[in-house]
Amino acid sequence: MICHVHIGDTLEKEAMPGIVDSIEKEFGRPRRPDATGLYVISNHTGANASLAFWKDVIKNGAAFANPELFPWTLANSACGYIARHFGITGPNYTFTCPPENQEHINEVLKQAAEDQERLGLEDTLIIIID
Amino acid sequence: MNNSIVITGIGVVSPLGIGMDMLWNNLLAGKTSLKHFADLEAAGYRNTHACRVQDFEAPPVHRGTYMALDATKQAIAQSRIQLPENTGVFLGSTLGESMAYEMAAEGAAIDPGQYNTFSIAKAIAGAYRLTGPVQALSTACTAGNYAVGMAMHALQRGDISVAIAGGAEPFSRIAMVGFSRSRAMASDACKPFDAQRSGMILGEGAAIFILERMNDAVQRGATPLAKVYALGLSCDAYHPTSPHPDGRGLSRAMMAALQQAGISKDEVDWVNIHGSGTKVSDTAEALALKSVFTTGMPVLSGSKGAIGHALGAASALELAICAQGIATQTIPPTAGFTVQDTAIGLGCTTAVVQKKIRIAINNASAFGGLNASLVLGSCLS
Repeated sequence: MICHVHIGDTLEKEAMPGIVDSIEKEFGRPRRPDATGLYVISNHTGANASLAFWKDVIKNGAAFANPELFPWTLANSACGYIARHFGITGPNYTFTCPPENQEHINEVLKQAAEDQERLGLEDTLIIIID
Repeated sequence: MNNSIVITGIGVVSPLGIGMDMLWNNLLAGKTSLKHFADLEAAGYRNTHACRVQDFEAPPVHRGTYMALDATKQAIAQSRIQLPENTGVFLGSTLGESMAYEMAAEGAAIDPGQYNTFSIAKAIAGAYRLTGPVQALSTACTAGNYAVGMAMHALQRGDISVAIAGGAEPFSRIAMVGFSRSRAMASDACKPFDAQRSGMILGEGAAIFILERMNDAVQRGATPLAKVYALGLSCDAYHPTSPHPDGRGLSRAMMAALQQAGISKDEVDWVNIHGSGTKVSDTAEALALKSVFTTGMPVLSGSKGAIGHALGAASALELAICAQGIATQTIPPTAGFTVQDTAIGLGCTTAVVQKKIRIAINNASAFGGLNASLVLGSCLS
């Protein structure tokens, strides 16, 4: 299943609860989380948190920056959040590319299809975040 | 026809040397690149030790890209390959050019989206006018293993005949502060699996590989250095920053890799551990190793005491060490490991080990619960 979600300028940690809710409402929960592959495609997951974290460092100094922001600076933090929410322990990918780049998305789909066959995955969740 | 996927070229930009030979010789000599940096102290950082690439000139906002391009040039030269136009590029990094985000936050008129992992991958493709697939893997500290694994899959599918794959990560002030504030940094040195370990030391660098099918490599007279057999992936789905304490995720990644490769655990002669030097992560990895290698432990070594933790480039740099080790049938010593932790009950080699290496595993784990184990093999008959 392919899901397209939008976070824009919202901080990743604030956007993710709504995103997993909407995924669950539309697609339900994976039948077998241990046999589910998760593929996130985004050009900017981690970017908003990185900017916010560094602004916080500038404001408060390196020794007093907010540590809660840091894990969200990593581009794969969104994918990790989704995995924890659904308990998905299968392959977990974060691809960086402009979400309008269909050629790139096709490559991701190819990898997902291969994983499904090679690993016997029951569900494949592809999430495009812009 | 032998359709094994092989590495025929390795390029490295590391804190312990630019070029595989320099890195390798320094590793075998037991050297470490760990240094105190006055600029970090002046900026008020609590942790002022790091492993940084010295004498490498690049515009700060393009440092990761320049490192990746330098490593790519080295890999192509060693491989002596004429790249076909449809060569694929598979590049892993955590954030890409961290400096761009720092500058944007400081008010510079810069779009950090133009400096992410994809931008580094695109720069490699652009430098060689390649039209093949370009994939940017942003899977934090596992990204190098992911990139090489995806390149292997594209070659196995027959989508491409040559791949450029690896990882790149410039020194990141965001990561330096972030890991320090997460209390993951060591105050002195990275000591993988050691009883006195207290955390990680940040590094930087790039490692890039040329991958192709064995029969293509042999046909054009290239020297295959190592086979790439399989990539095992898993997610702990447990905690944003901590691994599952019993190491179940990494255990599953190693088992998945061996299963896909059709290789028995008893054939594994060497594991290059993730060995970040943090209490929790090393303990979890040790439990994972014990759960997989129930009938005998392969030789263990770790690299982060010598080159630091280069995040998105870490597993690529360590894969370069694995490939060189397999090609020369030599396992380097583990800088930083001196006293075995009784809670871990596993030791890393502190000496250079020369032995028959048939199969090696390169382990990597990351924030977000990611685990990636890449299985490599010898090309020697």
